[in-house]
Amino acid sequence: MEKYELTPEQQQMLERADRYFVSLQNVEKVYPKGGKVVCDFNLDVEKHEFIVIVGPSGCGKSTTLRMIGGLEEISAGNLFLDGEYSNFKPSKDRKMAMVFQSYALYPQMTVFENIAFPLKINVFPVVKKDEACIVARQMTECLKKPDVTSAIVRESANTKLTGAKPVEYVMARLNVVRACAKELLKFDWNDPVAAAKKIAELEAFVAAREEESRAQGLELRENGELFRDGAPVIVREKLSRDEIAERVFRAARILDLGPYLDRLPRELSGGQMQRVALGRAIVKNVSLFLMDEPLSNLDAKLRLTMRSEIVKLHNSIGATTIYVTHDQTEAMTMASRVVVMSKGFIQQIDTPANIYNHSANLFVARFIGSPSINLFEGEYDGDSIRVGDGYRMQMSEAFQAAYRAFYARKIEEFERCLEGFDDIERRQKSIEYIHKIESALADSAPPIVVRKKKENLFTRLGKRFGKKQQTTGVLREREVAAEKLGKLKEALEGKFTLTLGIRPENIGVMRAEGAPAEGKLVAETSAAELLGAEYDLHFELFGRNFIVKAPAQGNYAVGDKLLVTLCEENVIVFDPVTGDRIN
Amino acid sequence: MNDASIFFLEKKKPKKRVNVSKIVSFFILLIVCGLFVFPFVYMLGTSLKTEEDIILHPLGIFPAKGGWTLSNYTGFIIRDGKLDNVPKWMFNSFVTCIVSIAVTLIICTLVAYAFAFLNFRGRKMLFTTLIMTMTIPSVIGTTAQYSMYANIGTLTKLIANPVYIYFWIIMPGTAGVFTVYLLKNALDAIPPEIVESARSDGASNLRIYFRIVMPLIKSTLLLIGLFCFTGSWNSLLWPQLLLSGTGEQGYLTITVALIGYTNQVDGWSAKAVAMATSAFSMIPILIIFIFTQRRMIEGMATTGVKR
Repeated sequence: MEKYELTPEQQQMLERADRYFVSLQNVEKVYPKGGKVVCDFNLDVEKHEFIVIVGPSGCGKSTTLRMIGGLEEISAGNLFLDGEYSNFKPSKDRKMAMVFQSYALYPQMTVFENIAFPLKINVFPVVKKDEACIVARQMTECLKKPDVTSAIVRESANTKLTGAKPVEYVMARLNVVRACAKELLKFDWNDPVAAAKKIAELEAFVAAREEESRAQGLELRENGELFRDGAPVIVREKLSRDEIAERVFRAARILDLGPYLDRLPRELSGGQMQRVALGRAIVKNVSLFLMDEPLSNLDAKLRLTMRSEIVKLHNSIGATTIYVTHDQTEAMTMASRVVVMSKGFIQQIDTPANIYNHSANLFVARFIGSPSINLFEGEYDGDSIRVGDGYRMQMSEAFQAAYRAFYARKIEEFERCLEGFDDIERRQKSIEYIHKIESALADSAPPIVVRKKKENLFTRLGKRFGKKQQTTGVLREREVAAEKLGKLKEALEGKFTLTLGIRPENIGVMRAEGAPAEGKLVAETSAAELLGAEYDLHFELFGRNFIVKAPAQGNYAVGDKLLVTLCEENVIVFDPVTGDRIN
Repeated sequence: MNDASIFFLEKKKPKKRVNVSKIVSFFILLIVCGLFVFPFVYMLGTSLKTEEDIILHPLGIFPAKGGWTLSNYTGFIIRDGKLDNVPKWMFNSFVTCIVSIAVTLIICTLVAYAFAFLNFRGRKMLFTTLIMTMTIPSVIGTTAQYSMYANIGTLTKLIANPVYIYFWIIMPGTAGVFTVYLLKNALDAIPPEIVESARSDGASNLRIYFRIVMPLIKSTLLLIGLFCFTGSWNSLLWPQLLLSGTGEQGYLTITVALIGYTNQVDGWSAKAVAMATSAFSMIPILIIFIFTQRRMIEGMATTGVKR
């Protein structure tokens, strides 16, 4: 057979698929009417990672998660789960568990039934057991001590006293399986010879079974499990009632749901319902968890405790989790890696610390951090940055080199993008490039939803047969690209205004006393918010609003004069044209 | 507190509030209720009259003094020591009702489930088309249905076979657009996450329907069952058309048969029996209604549809 030659890209694709647990490659989602919601999504997740996808509402994060879960179709790109191509796998075959914002509990079922539901309807790999043999062995054990057993069987008849069904009482007291308990209940305990006869019968039966399995090349172990060549025989089958109950109880124990198993979801509080939803996920014994804003419906305090509980759960069961949220605090505190999204584009994938300290662009810098980053403008003249009137920051050699390299690269990219508009094949790529640049510049505030005029039959007919609107012939994206290219070129010629950002904790403040020294920054507090251990101080500097954290001992008040020092090595420099970070 | 304020307080607190609009609406409802109930009372009263009584006092609601009798009831159940036709008709009607409820629920719920939870091309358009067919009166289809019944019946030589006739009585009524619409309304009220999570739990659509969705729309299903029961029990035109072909009296449904009774013009004596049978035929509907009233109102409230 002729071997099919793989292109280098395909080879790389398969390598990625093999190496990572979850691999999303150039995944896109296009709605027929709503346009592109997710663009060029690339993410590789290793086992045991806790990935948080974060972004403002409508940025495509939930859609991405639903594509991984198989609830949305993937328009383009490849999804690999555990090395398997999974674009078209139905949801139930993806070996993952999903937790929804609205919990999605089945309202007519009790907590127990809710958690047991996935167990009842699926087949699971279990070690093959010889049930008859187990029953026979347990029965023999019980018959060998007839006094104890018969006493318990007699006790079990008094359901009022035991508070359980006879079968279950016997099961629990003698630690036997259901079938054995039933046999014991049926057994005639008044007959003195019956027990001895039965024991002999059962032992002969077990011996016969052992012989039989040996003939098939199997080994029947003491606990009834069947082994072949030293390895257990695994079969996929439905779980027995007792096994389901055991698994549910185990999950309930982990999540402290024991007392609520008989309740209906509507009798639970929000936190408990969320725990039930988690229970339903962990009971499936899968390694991938998808969570879609699971904490958004909880109140602030509960959210805090559930946050740490989810992380603990993730660590204790060794799962891989992909978690979607719009709350940057959740992203920072829970994730091992954060994916920041805006308008369908990935802005940055990195650890929380790097996302915070080395934000890739203006969007990430604005979105992550509370209170948010302080942004201001400064004029760069090839050597230093001048901010406001008089304040100067000397820039290092390394920065100057990085600056030149950055703009040379960007200008080249934009020129290529502009050329792309003339080429039909590359046009889409160019348009997407501009969209991506725009997404990086987008404000982190949720977009204002413009209510579309509702379409009905007449408006649609009007659109189809009415006068066509004249299009200008020039794409909006092309104009934007040309404009931005012009601005970028200015950056390498003389002075250029850059956007600077500094995190609140990198600004030092002191109460200013007397006349300020030369070259020092002085500002007046416009608001002082005491948060207990610290203050959030608002003031105006360089014509921008600044927020700074200050210790509570300072006793700040509105109108205080502050001496401000900027920690210059922590200032992040952004290019205002593309929004990307320069240093 | 000064005197003026005490006076003010006393004035503000009336001893008993008389709600005029409530009283007026109560009386209007009472009158309407009376209008509705009167024919039934008259029917019941007449069915208890003796033959002479009917002739002498046809307008009296209840039998005259000493004229109360149950002979009209005993007469049609057992006549001359043999089982009369009425129990047979009741049985026919019951079978029709139960089969049509079962088939309706199966067909319509599956259709509604597909419209509510499955994503397929042209879903919206198909549903709109279905809804649009509601504007066509069902009587229009009668001729076409009848010719289908007759043609297939002649070809297969089954035309007078009671099972074949009953198949045709039941089937056309089962796929109701209105029922689908009701069910879809109820299904739309279920949060889609529940279905999605069941799907990710590994449940197939049928299982999702039977295990998750159906328990949630119980009251709607009950409502539909009731609509279906009354509709089927009371349907006259279509069964009459089909059953008129069979010479056998025992194959009729109760509604069709009773029309035969009440249309008789000869003498007053049959009137009492007709009233008795009518009263008798009301019993199942009455019983079902009494037991399901609460759930039915619940169902109406959840589907947001009155009929």
